[in-house]
Amino acid sequence: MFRGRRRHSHRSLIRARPSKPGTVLSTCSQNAFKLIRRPSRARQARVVRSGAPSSQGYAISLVSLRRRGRPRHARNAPAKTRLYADKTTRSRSAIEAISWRDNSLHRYGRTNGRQELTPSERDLLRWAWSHSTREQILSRLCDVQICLRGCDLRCLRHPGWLNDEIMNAYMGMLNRQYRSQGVYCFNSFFYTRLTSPSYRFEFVHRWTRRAGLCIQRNSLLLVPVNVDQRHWILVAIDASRRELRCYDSMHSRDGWRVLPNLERWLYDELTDKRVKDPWLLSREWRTLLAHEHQPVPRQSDGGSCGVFSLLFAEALACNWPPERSRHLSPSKGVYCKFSFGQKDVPVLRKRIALELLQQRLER
Amino acid sequence: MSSDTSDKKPAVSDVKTSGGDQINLKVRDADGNEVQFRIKKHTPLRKLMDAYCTRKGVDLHSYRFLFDGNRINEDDTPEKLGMEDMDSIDAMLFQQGGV
Repeated sequence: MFRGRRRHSHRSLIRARPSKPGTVLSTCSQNAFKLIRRPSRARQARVVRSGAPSSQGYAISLVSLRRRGRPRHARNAPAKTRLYADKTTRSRSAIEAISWRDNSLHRYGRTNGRQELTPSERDLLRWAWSHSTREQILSRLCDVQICLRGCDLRCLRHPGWLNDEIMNAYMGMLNRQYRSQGVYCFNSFFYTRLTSPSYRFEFVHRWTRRAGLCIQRNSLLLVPVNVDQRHWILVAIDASRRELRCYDSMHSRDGWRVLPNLERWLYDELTDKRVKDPWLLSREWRTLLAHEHQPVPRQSDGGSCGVFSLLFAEALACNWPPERSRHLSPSKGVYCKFSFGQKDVPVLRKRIALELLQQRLER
Repeated sequence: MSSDTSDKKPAVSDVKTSGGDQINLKVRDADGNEVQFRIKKHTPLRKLMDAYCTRKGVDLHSYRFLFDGNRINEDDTPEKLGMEDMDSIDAMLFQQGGV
């Protein structure tokens, strides 16, 4: 497993310690950006013993010495050396500084997400999960104005519960990528604002206007919904089929509490924005729980419903518009097929964390 | 809820007629409670958020502040976000879920 001790631990040294005088491994604190080239074991020991107190609080040194792991022809090249970063100021540059040498990534929809992480990805993730402080900002997503901190990204560790920051940051990235294809992702507060303390359309009627959302026949609206601070589900409002589908990794009936409110919002929204299209204005929208009509991956652990919801959203968005169902009657169209399952979740959690750190979806 | 007597300098809650570069903003939580703040247009909204969280007695990171569905950054000002007098800010409690 990722957090376990690596078999070749001598290849990679990762250090992060709070600055307690006398106990610190402070190779990096004073000269944080000085290159370290493969320190000998004796020198490492010396550094440990000397234990100079650090003046900079937390400091992280990530030194990857991967000579032996490299192919024979590359062994004479200088060892790859990386160093980063103190509290918050250098966190972005730290991430950017990592060169993505082996970027042979595949979209997990096709590969079932089972491919291993590359060493550089593993290092980055280890840094983010184990060696960052709680308040350290690891990724700044400007378009959704979210700063992901150490404690936010750590909830992606299996089997942690996902919080709204992760959900909204990821939905924001989906928005950026798929908005031009008619997909719009709401943030997780949309439904909460709409329905608490009771249904109030006027609380959110400016949200869609501000976002420039205009519902059309080819629109797919994705709404992540938090149920009672314990469960994440995803509602897809599919205008081409006139359906509101609830994707629930627990296959529960929570969706029936959510769907009527969103259906009511939809009618209110179409009226409020004076949509003229008779196809949309028809009152024949269907509400359904997706797992009753198609195979939907089911969660068997106690914490991954947020991950499933994000993966549902990702799969629905990247398969939009549905090729085959466009010209068929709505009832005969083909639903999006999901190619992941519970067994892929630990790897997919890492993939999501990496995508958030790199701020781009893998294709 | 608007009868707050706290004398926070940058964001005071007692409502007066907004003149010049000051505007009144309502902060609305998920339960529908509203608190009104008066703030200068070019003051960072961090002050308002701090005042609100202090008033609620919670950590600053417990609430997410949204304006028309968009997250408010600590450095944003009412002027930058195009806020007008008596506009509403949503203060939403953090969310989590797993099962």
